[in-house]
Amino acid sequence: MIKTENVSYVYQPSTPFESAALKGASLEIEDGSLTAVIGHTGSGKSTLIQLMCALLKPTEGRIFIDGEDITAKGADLRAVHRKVGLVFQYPEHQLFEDTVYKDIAFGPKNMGLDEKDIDERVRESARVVGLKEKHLDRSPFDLSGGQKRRAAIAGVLAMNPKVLILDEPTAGLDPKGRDDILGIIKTLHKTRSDMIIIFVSHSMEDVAKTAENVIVMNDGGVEMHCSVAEAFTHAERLQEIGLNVPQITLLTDRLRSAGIKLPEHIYTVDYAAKAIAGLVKGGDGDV
Amino acid sequence: MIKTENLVFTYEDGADEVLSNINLNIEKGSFTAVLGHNGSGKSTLAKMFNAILLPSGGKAYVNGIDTSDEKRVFDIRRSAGMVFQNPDNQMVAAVVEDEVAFAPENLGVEPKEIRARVDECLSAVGMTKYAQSAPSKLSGGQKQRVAIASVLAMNPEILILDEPTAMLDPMGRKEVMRTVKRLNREQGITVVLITHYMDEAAEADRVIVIDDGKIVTDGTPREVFSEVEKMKSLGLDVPQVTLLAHELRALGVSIPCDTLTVDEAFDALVSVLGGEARD
Repeated sequence: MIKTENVSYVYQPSTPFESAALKGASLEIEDGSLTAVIGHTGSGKSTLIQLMCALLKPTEGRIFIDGEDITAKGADLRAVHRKVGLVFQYPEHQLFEDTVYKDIAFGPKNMGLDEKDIDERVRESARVVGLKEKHLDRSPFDLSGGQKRRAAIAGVLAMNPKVLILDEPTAGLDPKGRDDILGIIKTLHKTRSDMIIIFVSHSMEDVAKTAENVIVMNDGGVEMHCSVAEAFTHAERLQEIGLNVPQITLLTDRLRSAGIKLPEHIYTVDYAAKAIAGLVKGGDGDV
Repeated sequence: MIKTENLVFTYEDGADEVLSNINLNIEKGSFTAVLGHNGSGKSTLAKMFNAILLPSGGKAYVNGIDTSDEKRVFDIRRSAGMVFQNPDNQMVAAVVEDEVAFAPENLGVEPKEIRARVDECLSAVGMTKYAQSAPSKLSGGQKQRVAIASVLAMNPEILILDEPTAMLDPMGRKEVMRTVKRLNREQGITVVLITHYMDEAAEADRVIVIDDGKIVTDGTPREVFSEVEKMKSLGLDVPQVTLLAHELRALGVSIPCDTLTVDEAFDALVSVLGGEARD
């Protein structure tokens, strides 16, 4: 479990440029959960995940991972970095080895694993992200954009992290590439029952399709931390704080306020289609 | 305004064609969105429109000028301005108004005229308030609007935008799209928008879909998006309400297949289900 206790972070403290990016965030994220973090630019979401990976040290407050205080003096940061894998934005810019295999192997190699374990982890991680054997011997620079990104994710997975954090994993991808990455996240969530997965997104539609829970950040604070279904019942508030609400939620909300008896929490097209078709077929009696 | 004739592009002789046999005519004052998955050739095509790349075969004309005419390359780039995905790659100055003045200064425009153009262009993108700010202190959407203003300062007739909102959050995306639409409507600038966002393409007059270097679909957003299966098979999406209409039709509910906006879907569904119509 990840727990943050009243965590604040101030950039450039005691200077004229001082600015508080995070103001007293308290959160608990359960083992085996799949959580999206959403918020407009400058809402504090990137600061929050960098704190969880111990890339930043909070100005105030404490962070615990599996009960261990990673913000304590003398905390073993190397251990934290192994436990918490971070996939940066545009991670493909960090590929550097001459083959995909070596790139994925870089993390486990640095962990001091033996050749056999490294080989197993490389192949397993490549498989999970949908890269084929033939890709492993290629230069990462010969892969397509979506494949490169998957190779970069495999490199983090090969470290076998307990917590996987992805910062805008679908930015700049086309719809198919985006769905591929979201599919990988969902599969990981299903197959690794213990893993905590957190991804940052700008798209409520991606959140609706993929996550169980959502953390909505606004102005350095946690605005909501709840199930995705519950978050969408606050569609108006989400729009107020600069987030987009899926078209389908806008539409069904309006239909409901026009007196059409649709269920609340509609945020996927499939569900909306079934609910509406049900009403039509049910005839006047049910409506 | 932009015309291509049997345009072909390959990176080296004998290599696979990145663009093959593109015949296109983009009208003055129109707003065209170009869709296609990564690697489809859409950015390559955009680069043909201001002579960053030249055809390996066939012709591209911008404002009647053949883009292969080396002597006219500056005329082409002045009339077709380009905005890229990452505004940070495009910024050169430390102050917003210097950034906007950069192009006209290099074109040798009179200082007085430069001042007028900078003010006008910043106002056109709603960034007058930030004239003295440092670009590094702006949000992504603001930076992208400054990038647009810097291109406008050359008085272009065509604005080519290559995924200008890919790195922006929803607010930034709205700011940029509102600006682009206004420039198109009020100033009559011809817009070519390359995007992965179907809702942005839905706002254009015309949508062109590129796949494997060829134009596979070309029509109004309504025509293009109503072909849900085809768009999916091309690795693309359609707006959520269009998909909803498609799924409802499959479930036997009669609703137009070319529903494009929330308003249209609302009206169609109210007439099927009853309820109070929109004001």
